[in-house]
Amino acid sequence: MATLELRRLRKRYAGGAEVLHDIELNIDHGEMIVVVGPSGCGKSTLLRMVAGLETISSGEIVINGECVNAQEPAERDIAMVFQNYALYPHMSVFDNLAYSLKNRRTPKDEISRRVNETAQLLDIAALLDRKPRQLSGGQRQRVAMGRAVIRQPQVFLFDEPLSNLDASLRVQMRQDIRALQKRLDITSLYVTHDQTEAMTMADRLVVMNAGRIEQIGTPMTLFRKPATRFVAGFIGSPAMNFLSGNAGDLPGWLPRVPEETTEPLTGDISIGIRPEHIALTTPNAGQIDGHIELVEPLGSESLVHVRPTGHESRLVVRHVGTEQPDAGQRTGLNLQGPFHLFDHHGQRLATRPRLADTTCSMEP
Amino acid sequence: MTTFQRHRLTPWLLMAPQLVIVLVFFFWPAFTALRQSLYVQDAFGLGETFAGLANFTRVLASRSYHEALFNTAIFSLSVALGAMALALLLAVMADRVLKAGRVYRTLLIWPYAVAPAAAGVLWMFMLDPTLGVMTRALTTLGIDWNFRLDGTQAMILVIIAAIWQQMSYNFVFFLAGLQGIPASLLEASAIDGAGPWRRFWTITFPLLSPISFFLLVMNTIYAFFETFGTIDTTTSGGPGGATRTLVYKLYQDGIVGLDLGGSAAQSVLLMLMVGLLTLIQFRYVERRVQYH
Repeated sequence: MATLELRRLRKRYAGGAEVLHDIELNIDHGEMIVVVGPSGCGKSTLLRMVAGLETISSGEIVINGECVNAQEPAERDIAMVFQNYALYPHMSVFDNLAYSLKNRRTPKDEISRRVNETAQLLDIAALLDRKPRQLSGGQRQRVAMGRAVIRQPQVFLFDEPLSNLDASLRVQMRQDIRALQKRLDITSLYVTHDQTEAMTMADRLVVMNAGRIEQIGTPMTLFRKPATRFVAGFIGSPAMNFLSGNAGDLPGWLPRVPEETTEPLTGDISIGIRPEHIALTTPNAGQIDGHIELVEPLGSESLVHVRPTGHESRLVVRHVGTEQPDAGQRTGLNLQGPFHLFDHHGQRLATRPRLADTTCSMEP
Repeated sequence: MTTFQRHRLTPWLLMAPQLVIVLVFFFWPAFTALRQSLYVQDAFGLGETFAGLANFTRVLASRSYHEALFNTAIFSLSVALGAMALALLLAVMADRVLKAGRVYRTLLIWPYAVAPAAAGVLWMFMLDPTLGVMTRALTTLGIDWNFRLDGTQAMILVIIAAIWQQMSYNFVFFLAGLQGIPASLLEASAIDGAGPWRRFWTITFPLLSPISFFLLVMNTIYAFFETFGTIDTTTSGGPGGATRTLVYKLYQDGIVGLDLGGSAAQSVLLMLMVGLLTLIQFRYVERRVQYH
């Protein structure tokens, strides 16, 4: 039912510091948009501006075609799930859920009907008489969700709702939230710093850095074709490897990447290679040899940190399989691709399609 | 654990300074008062005779004691409620101020640093029937102000002076309490559709209740005992005993009137009363307090 548009949104603090620059974002009805970025990138400020908790320096926030800049949080018909849940500590779970309905003078019997419905939906019906302090972290999270759901708002806002949960519960809750959001079909804006959470939950992902949007797209688009070096490094775990150098002076062992770009390369560039696109091989069998400096076993795979001979930076290799190489060993590296090229501003350089295959053909 | 049990003396030694202070300044005087309340002293303080509960029956039967009791009730209730309500109002406003907030806060805390007697004198000068600045303002409003003649006005004066002083103490606690309420709770409440007024009564006020309860106990004790200096410097219990509270009557009867037995009986009664009041507060008011 609702669309959300952000038009040239800016946030400047009284001291003069500008934390958001010209944010443009269009969210379709029922879409789950995840905003991800490092701490301090402005993502929470953005969310709070949509909620009406922060003033807008310039630009417009439009919900369903109507500019809501001047509206109070309560008038915007949004619901927000806070990082610390912000449950009212002196109220029972029932009263926490009923609070927004009471404020809107909903009849008593309808309040209890809707509270019970919501409690069923979130599996917290047995907890209605408890106070928040008597709940576990996961239960509090559910109550916070319930408080957002009960009003059936136009837009859901999530401010890192899972960051206070332990890892296994987080995986469970992110599936639950995703399922609930799809089922209720409510337009959502979800802020997180956790890229796994972002990848798994988003219809579309917004990567932010230093108050700017770096890229918007589906999780797989961002993974396959990161528009900037920042996105390339932020999305994907373990992070992408980067080799940088002058375009005219690249080490000879690198695959003949530069020739594959659509325009001639000049100046400093970075070449990105994901850890899963490098393979370990016997010495002298790959493009370059190196020393294994560190091995991090993860079970079904290991992360192998290799320093290529005569090179400063280490490369991380994702080595699949339970048998793991020893640190200190010499190894060959087989760089397969795809490769991601970025100019000295960090912008992606256009490359010809299927670049990876041509370089792979060098493999013995 | 065995180490603790072997050193039986050390804990007592460590506690000794505090224990000595409590013994000398609390238990000894309290015991003396209790003993004295059962005796009648002669006029020169040279001898005493055991009187049983005669001091108590005499005090409880006297009209002036009933009046003092009534005055104390009016005075304490007004001071405790007034000082708390005003402090809460100021704390809520100071909590909102962002610029120069510290200056406001410091200024609001100052009155507490003023001695009760000085606070009384300050207000007495401002409201002096002939010299007072505020008296002039009241006169232009058509109010005939003279607290030296009018008992009600005298009561109002001491209540104002006592409130003004205690307010700072309450203010510090309320402000700390307000700043301890997470901003996200009020934000959530705003999103949930509560206006500022409703936000205050449904979120802020309940969350302040532990502090309010503590302050209620402290303010009651303040109004009962610590306002002695304020009353003594301004009205001396007058006119005609209109501002004579229990603690002031106790002083007048004992120190000025030298009825040591009678005033000791009063102090025992006062002790019982405050104890009882605190008990009631804990028993009934504390139930409504939301600890979290």
